[in-house]
Amino acid sequence: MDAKRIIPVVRVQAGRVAGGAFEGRPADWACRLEMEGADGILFQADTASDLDWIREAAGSLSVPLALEAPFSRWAELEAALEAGADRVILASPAAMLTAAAQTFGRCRVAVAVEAVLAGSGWRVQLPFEPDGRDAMDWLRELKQCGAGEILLRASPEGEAGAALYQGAAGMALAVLCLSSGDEPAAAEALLQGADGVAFAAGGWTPRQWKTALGGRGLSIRD
Amino acid sequence: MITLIHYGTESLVTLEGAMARLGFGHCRAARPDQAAPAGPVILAGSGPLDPACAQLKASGWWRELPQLAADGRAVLGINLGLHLLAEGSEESPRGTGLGLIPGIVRRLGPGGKVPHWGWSPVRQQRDHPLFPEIRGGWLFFAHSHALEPTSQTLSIAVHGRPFSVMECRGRTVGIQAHLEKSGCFGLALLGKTLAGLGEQPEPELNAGSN
Repeated sequence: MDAKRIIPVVRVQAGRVAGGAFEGRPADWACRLEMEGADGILFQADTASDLDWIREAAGSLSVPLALEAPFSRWAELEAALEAGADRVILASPAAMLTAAAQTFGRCRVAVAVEAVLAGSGWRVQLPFEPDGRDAMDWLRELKQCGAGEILLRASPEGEAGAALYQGAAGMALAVLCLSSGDEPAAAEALLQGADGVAFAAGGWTPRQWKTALGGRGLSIRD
Repeated sequence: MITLIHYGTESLVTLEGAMARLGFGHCRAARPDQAAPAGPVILAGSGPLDPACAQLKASGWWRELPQLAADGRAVLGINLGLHLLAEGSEESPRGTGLGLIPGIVRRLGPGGKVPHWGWSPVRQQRDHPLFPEIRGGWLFFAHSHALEPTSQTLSIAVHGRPFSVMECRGRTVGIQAHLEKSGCFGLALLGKTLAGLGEQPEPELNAGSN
């Protein structure tokens, strides 16, 4: 059985790690998080250009690296992958998804989705669609267009949100749960079919997440 | 000196970082005439099969690799590289592979999410005098296709169904996992595999992370 992936998220602004006491070179922080047991690193960058820092991080790491950035041009995707990102994460509505999946392979392209519980159903806000879109329909469409995985934030988390992960698992769609740091809620998402959890680096270490989630009977890489 | 085949938009950054940490001298070669005069040749890769085939044919590597293997040169295929070394793939039914490793690459499934992107435990199926035992380790995979295991397969993993992780025919080796992205365990396995192929780290290059 595959391990549930434990993925710290590192925010990067202008090529430097941003956020509180968490500052410095992205490569340094990524290596530290790898040593603390991370199964991969997810960088959230404020720009999709000037990616020398990705090259440095990729050359230093021995775990996979994903980059979420405001990609708007094809050349930015090519540059990110050439610099060593194993996967690029596009923001919804992911206009370049189909072409990117065909060119680079489904493995290398994921999409970020934020779903909100509205009444009895889950909705996703998209440009040009004031009423939003049914979240399950949107996930199905993204899968058909070639998304290799969904970085999914459910609001609210917990028992209600877990139903969304269960639905995604039911359509054999790989999903990484973007967690606020609420470990019981993340565990519920993983138990319902999410393939991993992504959380802001700087709180619990990956090892602490693994200890807590492993104690709930989830498959975790040592 | 290890030769890393450089083609298309394939990034070699992580693999080069792994080589540096393990202390192996290496060079990039876009064409066969840029290869080191001796030492293993690594064909890494990810993404669709057909463009990779076309790029390798255009650069001359497609013709060169079987000749190098016939001459006894070590060849290591990683991920897509393993698929290219095989006889063919369901991903490109009308094409043929290099045929250095027997078997047809099949699409993963049923029973597992495709693509398979994650860490799986690996089990040794057959011993080999040149390569290390794999006992209880996790490796990282990113693929939608894989070789089906045979009695010759050295190690396997399961994603819906069992698939081949490591194949060896003579001095040609194919590995489905991204050893260079598989943490300390994968890095050690990569180093031992290259040692099994006769390559030794250069002490002055070894950064000591292994």
